[in-house]
Amino acid sequence: MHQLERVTNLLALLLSARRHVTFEEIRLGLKGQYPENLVAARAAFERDKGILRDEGIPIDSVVLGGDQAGTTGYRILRSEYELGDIDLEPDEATALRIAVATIRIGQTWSLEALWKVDQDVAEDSDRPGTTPIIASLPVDSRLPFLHQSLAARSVVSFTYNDKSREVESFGLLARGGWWYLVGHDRSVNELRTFRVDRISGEVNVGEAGAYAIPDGFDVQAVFPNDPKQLPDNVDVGSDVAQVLIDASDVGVVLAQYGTDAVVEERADGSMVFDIPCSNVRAFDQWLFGFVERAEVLAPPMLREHVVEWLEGIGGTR
Amino acid sequence: MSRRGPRPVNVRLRRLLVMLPWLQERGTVSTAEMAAHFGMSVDDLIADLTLASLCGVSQDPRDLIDLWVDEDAVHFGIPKYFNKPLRLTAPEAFSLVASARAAQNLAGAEIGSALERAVAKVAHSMGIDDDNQLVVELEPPTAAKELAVAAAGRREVHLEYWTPARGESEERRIVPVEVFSEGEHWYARSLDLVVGEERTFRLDRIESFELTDTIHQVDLGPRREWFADETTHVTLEMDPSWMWVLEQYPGVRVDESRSSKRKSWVVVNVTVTNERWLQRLLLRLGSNARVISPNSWSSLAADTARDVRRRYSK
Repeated sequence: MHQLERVTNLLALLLSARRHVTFEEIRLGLKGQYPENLVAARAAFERDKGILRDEGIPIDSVVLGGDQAGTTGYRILRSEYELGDIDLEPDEATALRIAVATIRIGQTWSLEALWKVDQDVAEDSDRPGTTPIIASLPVDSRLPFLHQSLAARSVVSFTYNDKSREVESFGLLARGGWWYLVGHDRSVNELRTFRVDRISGEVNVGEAGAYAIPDGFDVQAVFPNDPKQLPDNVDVGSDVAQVLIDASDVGVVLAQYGTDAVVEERADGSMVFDIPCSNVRAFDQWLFGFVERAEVLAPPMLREHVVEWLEGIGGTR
Repeated sequence: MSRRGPRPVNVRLRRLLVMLPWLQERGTVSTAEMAAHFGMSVDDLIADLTLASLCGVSQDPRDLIDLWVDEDAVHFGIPKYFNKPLRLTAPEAFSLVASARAAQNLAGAEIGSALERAVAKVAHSMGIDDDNQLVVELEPPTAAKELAVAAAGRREVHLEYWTPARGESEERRIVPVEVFSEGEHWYARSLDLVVGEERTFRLDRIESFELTDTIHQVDLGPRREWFADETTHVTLEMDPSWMWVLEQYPGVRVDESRSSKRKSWVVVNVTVTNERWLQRLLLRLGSNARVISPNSWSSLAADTARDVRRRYSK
């Protein structure tokens, strides 16, 4: 017998059970489907249960009393298994279809979710074809658990920068190709931001309802949009740098910072811009994108830092 | 010809549990339509449904899932077990909500409002009343929507495009086929009409553009993982604590089969689009990385640093 057939039979049996049923009763019910040998049968049953649980199927197990004292009984409550009525209006279903066709999250999760919530017969013809605009969001296997913890107000624990963290999640933000978790880090009693892909290992989700998100919390507002504005511990004497950009590249900086950032326009078409440099490492990454077409004019400490960096690579005096 | 391996049991089960209630709603459906809806081959569909028709709490025909396949259609009889889909899993709920939130950045107000209501209903079905703390920022440049319109109609577009390698702009004639985001940037995958080949244009480098009414028949096939048009493979050795600089780029692989001559450094293979791209990367990595191959670029970092350093000698 194919394992899929046996697992489907097991699922049907557990869904139909009016009370918790024991492994022996399951084995009797699914006559001949589990091996004769008890150890092998138990192992196969555990594997089947594992497949069902991995698929998110809630198997309720209890230790029974009475005649069956000490044995474990299993069942699946239909109310726990079945998706509730969502009753999407036609325009809502269409909008979700467009969203799923437009956004890629690197997995088939969205499409599988759509199949579940959008079972309506009437709208089959109203499906988007190939879409000419597609946005990709980064994916990380920990994100669903962080989202779940956020929704349930469960404290999450994980390792970040080699330190154990216990975090009350206040918000999840996708920005600039990365996902960030913002929340209250109980380990240091402060609001902290964590880049999700830099979390090491698994995320453990605690009990629901463990905290409240502060009123009016705005995940976008607490996290500066420009990484160069995130303060670090490097003091270069100012939070703003004057950077001379060659005429060939001024268009890029104007698109990023606008004309308000222009300090000086020179006759050759080059321009001096005010650029945030609170985070020197982020500033360096931005600056070196221009290679030889940009020059830090001020503050002097930042200019000296750039020179030292270049000399470290081999750009001798 | 490559042979596909057997489909995993969990994948087939997941699909069955969503297909059976869908089929129950419809009663009779053509196998071709059903296979297309669930993105599988007709053969795989028939194999899975035939197997499902043998399933139930016992082998008594009255207990089996009541469906049968004949000719080109599949029929569902009396509902017994899987009347509704399984509730959304954590990954499915996350993905659907995140997709909807992201799409709200791209959609018009009408669709945005419908999406908001849809997400609220989905969240409510999961027992979540407030899901506003998941935010997706996706700000397509103004060109994105118009170029998407051009892509949908395969319309020719004339544009002024700034090329960083040369630091100058030039006129291009293209037919966009797809507008997409990757990391923090937006791109238009296109047929370049001058060279007659596929080229990918970064939207923030388009200085101006104009849609024409000229329509072309263009099919460029699926997008490649790494969409630069010409690439070179470069091997670096580097301090692993600086890997974050490379995180934003596709085509980066740590080569664990090779060890670096420097203690605790790692060997990394990088896909490089052009010399200037590599110059930028090497400046960003500083003294924390070194080119191993190709030899022709082994002194590129020092040469580039020297050129840039010269500006600071004035």
